[in-house]
Amino acid sequence: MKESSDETLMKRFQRGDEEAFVTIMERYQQRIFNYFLRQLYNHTLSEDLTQDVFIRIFKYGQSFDCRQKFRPWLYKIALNQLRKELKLRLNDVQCNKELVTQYPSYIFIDYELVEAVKNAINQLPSAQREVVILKQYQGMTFSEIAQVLGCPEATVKSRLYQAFTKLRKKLGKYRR
Amino acid sequence: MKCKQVKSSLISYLFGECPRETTPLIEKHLVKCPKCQQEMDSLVEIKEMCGQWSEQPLSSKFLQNMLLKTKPDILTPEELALYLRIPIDEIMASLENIPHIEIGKYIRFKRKSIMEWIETIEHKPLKTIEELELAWHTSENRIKNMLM
Repeated sequence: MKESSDETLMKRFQRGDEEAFVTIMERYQQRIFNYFLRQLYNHTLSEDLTQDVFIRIFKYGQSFDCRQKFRPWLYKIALNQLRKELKLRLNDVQCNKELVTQYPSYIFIDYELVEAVKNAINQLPSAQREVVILKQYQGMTFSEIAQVLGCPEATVKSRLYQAFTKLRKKLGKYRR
Repeated sequence: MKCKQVKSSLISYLFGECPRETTPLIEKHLVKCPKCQQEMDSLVEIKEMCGQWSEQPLSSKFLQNMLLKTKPDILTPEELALYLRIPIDEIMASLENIPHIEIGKYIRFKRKSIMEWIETIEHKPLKTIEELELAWHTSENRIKNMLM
């Protein structure tokens, strides 16, 4: 059976179908969680913010216009939560430097490279970092990212290219 | 296509978002231009390196917790334990202090009553010098009594 689109699910949720909301949550919870985790480096906080995002959708889902795409709307909510959190931590430089990752022991990971990647992305200007996270890790299209960030597509592409150029410099020693 | 045009399209090409008619033109240029090919190769390498940073799993209780927060109103002991993030044994041991409903052999809790109860037992910070002094004297007396 064909999977219902996000917009169809939201329409059903707006009509009182709470199972539709649960489906939306199951579909996006992991991605939204990792969206926060990659920028905040705190498992508990990222879970809390993920909860906040879905609670907001539950409370204010009626305001979503089902003729629009759901994903950019969802990530706009997530981005607002993230920016609020980062503002609170503006003076807490130490927090941003905690880059702790726990991987299951059976997965082979080049830890040094991953830490280098995380550090390099963390050091990007926030405008470039936002684009990298949304494109590289959240798999959004340039058009969707432009909607989330409220800027032209060309700006998104330009920021991403500048980010990759910076990452290339920082990760130089790990290149073949 | 010229190098400048190709360079400005490489990021779209890297992520497979080039217009259909542009892709063969870029590919034709890359075959002939080592400089642009090198640029492309380096972008691919960075993308692959970034891909090493894989996703972390969300806790298995997340969905359950979310459903508790978005659904009404009556909680089982297990749901309350999850909500308060304490072991269920603690809930059952402290049952006489927690507002609850007994229906036959079943124990249930009203979310609203639990929230009100939490307000009453929450330790609030002391506000005035007088309250601080009173707390100090109370502690001092308690220690003296213990030593007697």
